[in-house]
Formats: sequence, C-alpha cells, structure tokens
Amino acid sequence: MQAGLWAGGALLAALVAGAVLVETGASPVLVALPGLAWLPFFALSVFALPRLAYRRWRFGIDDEEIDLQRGRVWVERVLVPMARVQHVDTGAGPLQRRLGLASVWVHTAAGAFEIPALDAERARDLRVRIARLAHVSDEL
Amino acid sequence: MSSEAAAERLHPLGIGLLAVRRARRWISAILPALAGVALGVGLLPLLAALVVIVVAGAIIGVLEWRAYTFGIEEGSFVARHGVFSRDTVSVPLARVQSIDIEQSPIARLLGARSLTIRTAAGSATVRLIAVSAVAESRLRSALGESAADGAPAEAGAGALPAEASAHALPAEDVVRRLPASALPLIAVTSPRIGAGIGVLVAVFYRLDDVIPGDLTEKVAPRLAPGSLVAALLEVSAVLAFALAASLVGTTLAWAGFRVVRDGSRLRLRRGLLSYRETVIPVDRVRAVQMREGLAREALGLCSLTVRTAGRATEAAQSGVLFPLLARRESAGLVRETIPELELEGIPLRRPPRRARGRAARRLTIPAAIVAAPPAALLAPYGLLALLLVPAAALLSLARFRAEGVGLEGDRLAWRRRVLARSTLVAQARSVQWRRVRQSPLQRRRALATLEVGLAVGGVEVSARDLDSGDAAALARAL
Repeated sequence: MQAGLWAGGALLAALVAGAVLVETGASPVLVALPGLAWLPFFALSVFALPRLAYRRWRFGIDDEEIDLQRGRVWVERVLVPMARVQHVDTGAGPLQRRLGLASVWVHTAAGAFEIPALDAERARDLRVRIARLAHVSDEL
Repeated sequence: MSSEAAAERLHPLGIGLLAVRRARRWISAILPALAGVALGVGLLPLLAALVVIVVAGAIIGVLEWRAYTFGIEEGSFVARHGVFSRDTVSVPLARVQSIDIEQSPIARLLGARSLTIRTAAGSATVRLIAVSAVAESRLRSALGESAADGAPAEAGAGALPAEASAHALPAEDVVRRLPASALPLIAVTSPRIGAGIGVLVAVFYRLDDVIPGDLTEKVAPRLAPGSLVAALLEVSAVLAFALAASLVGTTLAWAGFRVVRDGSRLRLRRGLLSYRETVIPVDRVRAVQMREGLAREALGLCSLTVRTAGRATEAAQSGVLFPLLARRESAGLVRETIPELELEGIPLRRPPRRARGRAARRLTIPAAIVAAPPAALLAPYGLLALLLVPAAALLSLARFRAEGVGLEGDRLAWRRRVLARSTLVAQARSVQWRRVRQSPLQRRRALATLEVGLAVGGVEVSARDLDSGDAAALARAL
C-alpha cells in the first residue's frame, strides 16, 4: 500500500514536471525526461518494495493472542486477544482466487484486521484454528 | 398466541402518533399528485382527498395500535407489531445497554412517554412511541434486575412484573442536582455560543443588505453610522443575542438535570418543556469521559459523560452524567455513581521531553505554511496571519502537556487535548486490540505511538510519541 502511494506520488510529480515542460514548449526529449526518471520508482515499488514488505510480514497465533507484525521502515505491531475475537472469515478477490490465495479477516468489536494473501488451503485452516481458539464467548 | 395475550399495549396517545405518521407518509408520497389536483381541479377536491387520507390514517392507526404489543418474556423484551405482516423483535434484557425516555409537552399532559431501547448493536433497537408511566417503570425495573443477576425478570408467564408501579418504587436517591444558577454558566461557557455568534453576524450583515439604509441608524438614530460607538453597539447587540439564545437553549435542555441512583441503575433526567431521561444499569457503563472546554478549563469546570458498549453517535447526548461541575468535585461524583471507574489514581505515562520538539512542530509548521503567503503578499494586514504561528505553537505544547495513557488495575486512562482537554477512564476489559507503531523518525528518538481499540462507542485511544519501552509495556499489559 505504502509502496503504491510512493509510486503514485512519484508519478504525479513526473506528470506535473512533464506538463510544466510542455507549457514552456520544451523539446519532446526533454518532456519525456520526468517520465524516465519515474521508471526506477515504479520498478522499485512494483518489484522490490512489495517483496520487502512481504518478507517482513509476520503473524503469530497461540491460545492467548494473535500477533501481527509488519514493516521495516514504518514498523507496526498489533495484538488481539483471542477472547476478543468476534468472528473470523476468509475472503479472496478475483486476482487472489486465480492465484489460489485468500486473506483471513479477524473481527473484533472495534474493527477488523487482515492477514493478507495466504495459500487458500492455509487460510482456511487458519480460520478454523482461530475460530476454535476464540471459542470462549465474551460479553461486551 | 397465549403469551401475546399477556403482553401490553401502547398508551392511547400511540393511536394518534401512528395515525399522524401514516398520514404524513402517504401525503409525502403523493404530494406531486396532490399539488396537481390543487392546481388543475381546485381546492375542494384537494380538501376531500386530505380528509380521506386523514380518516384512512386514523383507521390504520387504530389497527396498528391494536396490533402492537410488547412485554417481557423469559428474560427478553419482546415487541410484536404489524397489521398485515407480523413482526416480532426480541432483545434479551442482558443485552440492553440503556433506555432513553422522552416526554413531549403533549405526552406529559396525557401521561405518556416514548421509550428507546438501545443495545451494543448500534442503532436504536426498539422504539415504543407511547407507553404509560406504569409500563415505563416496569420495563425500567426489569432492566435493572436482569443487569444485576442475569436472571429472568419474573417467573410470571410472559407478563411484566405485575406489582411494580410508579408508586411502589423505592424513594428516589438523588445523587446530585444541577442548580438553576449553573444554567447561565453552561450557556456562557458552551462552545455553542461561538457558533451562535457566527450565525448572528452572518444574519446581521444579510439584514444590512436587505433593509435599505443602515441598520444602526434605526437602532440609534443619533449615532453617526460607522462610528466606534455604533460598532460597539452592534457588537454588544450580537453578543447579547447570542447569549440570550444560548441561555434559552441551555435552559430548555438542561433545566432540572439530576442524577438519580435507583437500585443498580443510574437515571439521568433533564429538560424543561420536553423531558428526557436515560436509564443505564451501572454495570453497563464501560467508560467515563471528563471534558474541559477552553472556557471551562480556565474556570476549573468540566462536564462528565458515561459511555456504554456500542456506537457513540446516537447515544452521545443521552449519556451526560453531569453537564457542568467543578473539576475537583468530578472524582467524587464518579465515585458515588460508578465506583468501578474512579477517575483518580491512575498514573499516566506521558511522552518524554525528547518528544517535545516533534510535538511542537506538528501544528506550528503547517500554521507557518498557511500563514506565509498572506503575510508575504498582503502586507500590512496580511502580517496578522503570522499570529497563527505562535497560537499553533502554544496549542501544540498544550497538547503535548495533556497527552498521556495509564493503566491501573482494570482501569485504563487516556488524556488528550484537541482544543478542549478530555480524560477518558475505561474498563481495561473493553480493550479489543493494541497496536504499536513506529516511524523512522520516532525510532531515532526511541519513541512509539500506542493505539488501543475499545468496544466503547468507536473510541480509539491513540497516544503519540510515548517512550517506545513504555508503549510496548502498556501494549503487553493491556
């Protein structure tokens, strides 16, 4: 997500720079320059950053708690006690389905968290496991 | 169907309300057609059509009223309604968070009131548009009982507890009343007054445009228009108007406010003409919030609100535990009413000194960016925009000083400032998740942001720039 924003921002900057150059009546080569400068950002955000983000994504599940960690530069860690899990579901968009992937959504009484893009099989197992561990019902 | 026989009907005023609602719905649905009739055919057919609608509405009103029954069955509140298709709504008493009671002047004359039953699922689950005083007190006491021990309200098959009536209730235990002398203070310190002044100024200038000649000439003909005295007069007239409007609004809303402890329930009552009451079982209260508006903070005053599970938006005004009291008395009032959520004695972890610079820059830099163009381009008056910068710096620092999170036993406290300072004390068991975030710049200074999701009306605790060790420790402890 952050990678996408990053590339999007760079694209916007490139477009603005290009537009300014067109306005000043620069040569086509000069106009193309910002676009070329944007390419490395694009490559990075498509090929390198998602890979990094993927490698940093961690989750742990035990009887007590769900522990989600991600990010190397912007680091984030979420802890959800099993007793607070209201329900769990899996979901897959068309693209994910084609690739045999699925995401697990853990819902609490104050928002939901995603464990993204797991093997569909594994996602199903995970859902069942969390549902079983979260069996203890909890009143609000 | 035998259980339905034992259930209660709405107050007869309900017939009128149902009929009006039905007629109004029909009229708005065929409004274009009615307008066509009035323009094309004449007024008489229009009148005839309206009479037909009103009569039909009244008939349906009676039928709907006859079909509407409610009662308590096996620990659940049950309402059945619908003339053609029958609907049954059932809410386990253990799931009811609060009941709002409302009484318009007309309903007051006839001894009716409306009840809104709220659950954690958000929107008002059931609204009984008109019930009698007896039915109200029965429902109220059933709510408290089930909250206390979770047992079904009464063994009697399906019926409401028969003996309980308004007169049989134990004497009211008024914990605290809002003195009438506090009303002007609420009006003056209410944030509403600022908005009121804005509206009035706008209206005032409009009037100046609409009315030929200068308005001030009419108010004070001997004053030269545009003179300082005239301007001062205008300003004080606007202020007086805003004050008067605020005072009237405040009096209508808050006159007669009192907190009543009724067994295991809190009853928060208020209102001058329309009368409103919120009934909350004490053990349903999940959080207490103390708010100190800018003017109130300066005077050492605050207001208190209670929160239950579920969404805040709708019940927001209904949960006011006290509209205005001295800050030093607030802890005492909470101790008396909701001892579990004692306001005091929770040490706050505050952002360390090294986070001060970051906090100060957070508002000051945007303010400088906003103020720079007018200051540079519109001298000399544009330079006034630069005043934004020190104001933003002051607010940033005030926010920094206010911020803090703490945990003591099973109470979580969170203090922060937007403009007004607010302190939330919530039960730690309503914590749903904890999140610790760290940006690269925070990491350099060993700071982190702690966020906590509560199952209390959409509250998301967020404390920026805590010491990263503190943040992690709190996240573990919660």
